[in-house]
Amino acid sequence: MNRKNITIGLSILAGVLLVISLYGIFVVEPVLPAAQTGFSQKIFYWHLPVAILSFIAFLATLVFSVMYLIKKELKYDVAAYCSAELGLVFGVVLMVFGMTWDYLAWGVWWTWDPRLTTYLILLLLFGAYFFLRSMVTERSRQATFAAVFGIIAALDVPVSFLSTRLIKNVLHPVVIGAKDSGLEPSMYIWLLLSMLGFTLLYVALLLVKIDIENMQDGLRDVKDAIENGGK
Amino acid sequence: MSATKQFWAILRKDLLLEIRSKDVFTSTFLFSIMALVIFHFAFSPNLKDLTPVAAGMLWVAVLFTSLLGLNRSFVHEKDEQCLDGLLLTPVDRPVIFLAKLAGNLIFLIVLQVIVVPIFALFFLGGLTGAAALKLAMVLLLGDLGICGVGTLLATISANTRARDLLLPILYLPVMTPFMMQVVSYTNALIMGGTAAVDMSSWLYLIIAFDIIFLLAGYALYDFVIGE
Repeated sequence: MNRKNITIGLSILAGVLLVISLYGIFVVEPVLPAAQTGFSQKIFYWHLPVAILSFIAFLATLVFSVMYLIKKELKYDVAAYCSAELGLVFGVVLMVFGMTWDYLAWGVWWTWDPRLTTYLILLLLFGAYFFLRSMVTERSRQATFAAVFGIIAALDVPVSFLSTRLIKNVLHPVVIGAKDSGLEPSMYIWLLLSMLGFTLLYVALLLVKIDIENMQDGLRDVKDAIENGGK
Repeated sequence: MSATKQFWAILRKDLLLEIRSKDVFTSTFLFSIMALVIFHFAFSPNLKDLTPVAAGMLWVAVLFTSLLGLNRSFVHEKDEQCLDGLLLTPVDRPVIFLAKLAGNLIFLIVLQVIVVPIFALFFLGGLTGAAALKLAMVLLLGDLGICGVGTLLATISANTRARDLLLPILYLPVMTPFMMQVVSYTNALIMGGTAAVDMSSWLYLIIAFDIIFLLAGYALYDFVIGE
C-alpha cells in the first residue's frame, strides 16, 4: 500500500470515528444536569482530544527540531514545520471551544486562568516561530533558526505553566477542579473515540502537509534550475 | 590565545566601542526615562498612588530598554561584516556567546545603576536599605535571564531579513513567563510584604529560568552563529 492510499484511508477512518463520536455525544449520552454545566459540557468531548493533540503536535515539533540539529537533514525540519502548523490550527480550534465553554459555564469569554494563559503564550511563541521562518530565505539557515527557536519555545512552556499556577494560587488559593466533575464510564467511550478520531486526523493531515512541503521544495529546485539556464 | 583572553578581547572591543560612541547608553537612558514619564501619565488619571503598579512599570521599562541594547549589539556587527571577521578568527563559539552576554549585561547594569534610583525617586519616594539590596538582587537575576536568552535571539534576528524588527517578536513571548516572576517578586518587595506571600518560591523560579535560559543559550549558540 503506498503512502497516498494510507493517507486517504486514515482520513476516511478519522471522519467515520468523529461522526460516530458526534452521534454518541449528542444522541446517546444524556444532557447533564445544570449543576454540571448542562448542555455545554458536550464541548468537553472534543475539547480534551483537541487540547491533547495540539500539545502532541508542538511536542513533535520539539522532537523534530532536536533531530534536525543533530542530523542536519531537511526532512526533519519539514516535519517540525508541518507539525507546528497543525499545532497552531488545533490550538486555535481549542481556543474557540475553550472560550465558548468559558462563556457558557462561567459567563465570561476570557479569564487569566493558568491553562488559558499558558496556552495563549504558547500560541504567541508559535506565531513568532512562523514569522521567524518567513524572514529567512536561505533554506538551511531557516531550518536551524527555526529549530533553535522551537527548542527555546518548548522549554519555556512547562515553566510558564508552573509560573501561572503559582501566581494564580497566590490570588485564589482554591483551585477550581472544574473538569474533574466525575465522568460516567460510558462517557469515556465517546471521549476515547473522538481522541482516536482526532489522532488519525492529525497523522493524516501531517502526511498530506509534508507531501505538499516536499512538492514545494521540489518545485523551487526546478525553478532554480530553469533560472540557471537548465543546468 | 586562551579562552579567557579571547573572552576579554571581545568584551573589551564592545566596551571600548560603547565608551567612545556612547550610542547605546544615551539612547537606552533617554528611552527608559521617557518610558517612566509616559507610564506616569498613562496610569495617573485613575491612580493617586502609583506604588501598586510600580513593579510592572519598572520591568516593562527594563524589558523594552533591553531590546534596544540587544539589537544594537549585533546589528552593527552585521553592518560592517564584523561578525564574519570575528567568526574567521580561531575563537570558540561559546566564548563569543559569553563575551557578548557579558557586554550586554554590563550595559544593562550600568544603565540600571542610574535609572533605578530615578525610578525609586519618582514612584516610591525612596527605598530603605534592605529593600534596595533585594531589589538590586532581583534586578541582577532578571538581567541575567534577559541577556542569556536575549543574546541568542538577537543573533538569530540580526541574521534574518527582518533584522531588528524580528527581535521583539521572538523575545517578548519567551520573556513573558519570566516577567511574571520578576514582577511578582518586585511587587511584593515594593509593597513591603503586605501581600503575606512566600516570596522565595518566585525567587526559585527566577533562578530556574536563569539557569534554563543561560544553558539553552550556551548550548544552542553554536548552531545559530555558524549559519
